[in-house]
Amino acid sequence: MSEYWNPPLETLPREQLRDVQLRKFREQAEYAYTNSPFYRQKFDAAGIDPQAIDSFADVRDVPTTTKDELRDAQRGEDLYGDLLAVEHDRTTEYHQTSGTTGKPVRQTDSWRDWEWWGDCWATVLWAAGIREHDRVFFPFSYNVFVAFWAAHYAAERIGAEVVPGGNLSSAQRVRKIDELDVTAFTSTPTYALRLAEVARDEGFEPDETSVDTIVCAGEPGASVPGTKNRIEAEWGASVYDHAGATEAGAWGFSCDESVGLHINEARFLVEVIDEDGEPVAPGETGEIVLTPLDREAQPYIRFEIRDRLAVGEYGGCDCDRSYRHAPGGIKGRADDLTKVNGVLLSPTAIEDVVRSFDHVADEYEVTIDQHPTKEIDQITLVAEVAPASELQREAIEDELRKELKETTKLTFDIELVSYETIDRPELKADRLTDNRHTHV
Amino acid sequence: MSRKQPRTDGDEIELETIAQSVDELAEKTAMLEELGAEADLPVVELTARRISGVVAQLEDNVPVEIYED
Repeated sequence: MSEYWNPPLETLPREQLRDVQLRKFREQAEYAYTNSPFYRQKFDAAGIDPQAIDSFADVRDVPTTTKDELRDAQRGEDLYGDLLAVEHDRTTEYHQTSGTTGKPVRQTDSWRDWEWWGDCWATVLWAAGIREHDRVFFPFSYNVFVAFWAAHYAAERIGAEVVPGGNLSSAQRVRKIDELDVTAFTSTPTYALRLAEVARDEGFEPDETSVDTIVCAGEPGASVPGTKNRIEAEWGASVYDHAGATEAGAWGFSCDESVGLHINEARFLVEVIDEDGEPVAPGETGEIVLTPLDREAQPYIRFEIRDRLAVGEYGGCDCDRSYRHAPGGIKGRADDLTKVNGVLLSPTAIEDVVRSFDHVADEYEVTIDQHPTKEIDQITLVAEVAPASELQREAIEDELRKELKETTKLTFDIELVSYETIDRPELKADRLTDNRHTHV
Repeated sequence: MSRKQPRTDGDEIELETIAQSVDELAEKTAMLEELGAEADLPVVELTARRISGVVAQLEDNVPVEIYED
């Protein structure tokens, strides 16, 4: 079978793909204007006539949508506020955002939307090599969080056998992987590493299980070379990335040819912009403004998802897809970037360095404090030394300090602690604590 | 003699007509799955297979016994 989920679309000549995007953007904007009171008001206020959108320059005149606007729209008695573009009896799914950056946003979808979610995720799973013969495990209590539900239905669509793994302990999950000869699973990078630890605690080596594919979601780790390599070594499996948002859908996926993310450009218009709202040059990092092109119940036009990305030139990946590729995947959230002693610091840069050290275990914590007497910031990394490397602590600390300085241009205080000293997160990890703003 | 079901507007519709439409849909879906496989289009082949499962439920819900006396 083809390596592409949709061969003609994924290899469509670039110009035709851009035509598809522009037409769909206009249709989606018209649909939102006609059916969503939120967008009618927003476009009227900005003097935008969706029917007149005729170029990508016109697209950039359309105002962006922020998460705060969505929260404001849902503050009233109506669950979805004026965002809803269909009658309530046409909606079939309820999900919500995790609430990590504020009050959760409620997301409802129609049946058509839900099929769309499945197709977007099928593109992700197919590119990761998941096929009908696979047995795919979802070791997560899905609850109201959309990603794993959509991935579950996408795996079904491919014809794989799906094993839901909610409401189980980590130990029960790794035993299930072993018992059922699971060939693939989906998790956050943090949890993939945690499950490998638990597997060993349970008495078997993760790389001796039948797992050969891991699709990661929720964190950028699978496109961070240090983390990706570590998960692949732990499980003896190929690790693939995915990017998405509850409001926007599963817009990014990785392939076999390179580390990073392809943008599913047949389904999404992804713009990467600078702080003035202008598109950044290929290879430069900017913030993502994203428009899912086929939504029905809750459309989003030019939604600021706050993730940062650097998209390369078209044709930058050997897989021959027409979809642009972003080497290194998500460069972190704009909200997570912080200035330390005048230098912009990204948590993923620290992650890549730490995870490239074999002598350091999986978990670490970073804290930033104001120096008690001087007008400077102090940044401290606490990491676990791998059990077999206890005797080399000093050398590892020196090497780690040197690598971090080279990568981030900042001097870190390093403290290596014993293995399993730091708490293990079960889903997403927040490894950076900034204490500077909490001190008066 | 085929049985009928009252329409919402008061007229009647032959249940056999519904059954025939379901049959046609099943045939078209099977054909789509085959075409998708021949053209090596996984999205068509496997989505059609999924639709076949849905159409089969329609077929099961309109068995011959409910429209033939």
